[in-house]
Amino acid sequence: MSGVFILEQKITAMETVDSNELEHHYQNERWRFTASMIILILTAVTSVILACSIGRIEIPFSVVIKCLASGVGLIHDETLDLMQKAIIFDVRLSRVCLSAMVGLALAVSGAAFQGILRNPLADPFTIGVSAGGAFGAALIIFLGLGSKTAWGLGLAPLAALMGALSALAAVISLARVDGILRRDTMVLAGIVVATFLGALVSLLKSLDEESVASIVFWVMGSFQGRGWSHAIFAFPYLVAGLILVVIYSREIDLMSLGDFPARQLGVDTNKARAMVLIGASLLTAAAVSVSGVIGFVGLVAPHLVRMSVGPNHLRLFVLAGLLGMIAMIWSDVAARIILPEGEELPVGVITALIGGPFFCVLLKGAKTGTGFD
Amino acid sequence: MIEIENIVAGYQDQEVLKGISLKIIHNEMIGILGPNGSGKTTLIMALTGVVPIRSGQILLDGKPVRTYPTKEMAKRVACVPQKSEISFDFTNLSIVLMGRYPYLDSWAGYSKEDRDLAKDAMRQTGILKLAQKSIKRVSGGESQLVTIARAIAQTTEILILDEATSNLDAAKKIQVFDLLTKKNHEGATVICVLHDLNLAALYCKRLVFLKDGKVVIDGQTQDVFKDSVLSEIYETDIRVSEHPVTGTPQAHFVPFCNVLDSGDSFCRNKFGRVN
Repeated sequence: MSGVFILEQKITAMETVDSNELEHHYQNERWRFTASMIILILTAVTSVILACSIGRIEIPFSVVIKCLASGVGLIHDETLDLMQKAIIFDVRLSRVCLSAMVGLALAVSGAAFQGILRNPLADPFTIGVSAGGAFGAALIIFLGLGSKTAWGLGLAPLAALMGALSALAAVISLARVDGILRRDTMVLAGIVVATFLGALVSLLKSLDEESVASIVFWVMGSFQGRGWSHAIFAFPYLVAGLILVVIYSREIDLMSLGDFPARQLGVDTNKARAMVLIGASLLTAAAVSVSGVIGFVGLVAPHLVRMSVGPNHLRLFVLAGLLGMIAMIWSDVAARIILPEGEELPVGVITALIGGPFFCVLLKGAKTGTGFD
Repeated sequence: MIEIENIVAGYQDQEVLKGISLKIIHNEMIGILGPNGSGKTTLIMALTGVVPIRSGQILLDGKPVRTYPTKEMAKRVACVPQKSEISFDFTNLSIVLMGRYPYLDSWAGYSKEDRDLAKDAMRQTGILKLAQKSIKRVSGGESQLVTIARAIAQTTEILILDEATSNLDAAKKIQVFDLLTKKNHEGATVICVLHDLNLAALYCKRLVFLKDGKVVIDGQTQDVFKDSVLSEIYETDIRVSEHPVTGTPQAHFVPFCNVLDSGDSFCRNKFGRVN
């Protein structure tokens, strides 16, 4: 009897050590997240400055920093070249900020779609939501309502949002078999819807020769000729979408257990799913309405982050969002400068060329590490 | 107290529960048994409010289950589902921590207290050493222990287990049921759905047998755990004898055809032994 008792005591002592170790581990994980976040923020800021200095007219790094500093009122320097200042503020910075916003929106919406649909291949591009947004915006522009506003907001992003949500609804209803959303059919349905809508966009554009934006703009995505007005345009949608998915990030965590277990743990699953889908569609619409359809950022960034810091969705949104920003800033820089004649490449070409093979390596290299079965 | 009054429930065009009435009083340890497809899991789903009922009602402490907000319900009833498919590789500790979700304020994260409760639950089920491992890298049995720990971390007065120990080895089954008995002594109401007749008879004071979506028999274990009752419900020959240590009834299954050690063989039909 006493033998058993001693054994029990030993086990308890051993497990107390375990418990402290776990607490230590937990704090370590937190530090790792914070450190990654700080590193990514610093990288993002540096990327913005570097991206402003690179271009057809090379502006030295130091001049960019001086210009930016004087722009936010940190220093007063009368010697700055007005032309360079104009290039940095009106042409480059606006475009860099816009691409950062789009990268953030796509990465976070990808992470949210993957989480809530429990599907590793879900992202705004693969499930047809981007194509829906592009179609909505293209239709409004075709009808000549592109510059109109409603309730103080531009009609084109609103139409992009409606298009994105309708495409999502279509994909979900197509993918539903016997009332259950199947993971494999979801991507198939997405491809069908995306291809169909892509064809419609092409049709609209060929019917409307006068439209300034080219078909390529909508199909492959580009930031050419985009500026502050577009950034301001997309901003409210971006913020609203981010708030929605962040608020429900813990619910997404629980819903990865499945619907019934999540409900048994107290999650209002229908409400959470609706909110996250709307939030992620808002983010997609914000991105698509200013940049067209850009693929792979929403797929690769969340996967990379999940592999290194785990699947916690709040952390995933923060880190994948930052990573998406950085990736998109540099993709756009590449799109601007890669052709020798000064012509631009659609940025979607760059993201697909880099993201495609990269994603294959991710899938091949870490079959379990991607976090999905 | 849970009062189930003549409920009908099912999925799409299929009616699984066809009028079930059951009263479960506070601090009971009750086993729900029955052949495959008899409606055990659906009953649990209806009870936890995740499958809607078509008629009848389920009252929890006098109030219909569907009127409870989901979080309130999760503070009262914890459920260990039959199978869990988790789509991301969370650590086992974070899975167990999810049991604390109903207690969280909307903006707050899991506190130190939540983490301590989760770790304590893992210690009780004997899986603390797996805390940092991914849920994707543990065995089927271990992942069941993780889910049981999650339900314990939920600190509810009612614990429901749906085939929660089906993948565990014999020793771990006993450990889990000892733990459930302890929780029951501490005041919890324990409802377990089981296929293991002997485990049910060993630990549950009351047994409810379901068949074809109806309650066939409901009573104290020593009253209902009988040759005739079991044989009729499972449509196979089952004999009951006394457990050598605890004295509780235990079931023995008789094969249809068998070769005995003596070299003789015997066969029986549905109604008993023929030769």
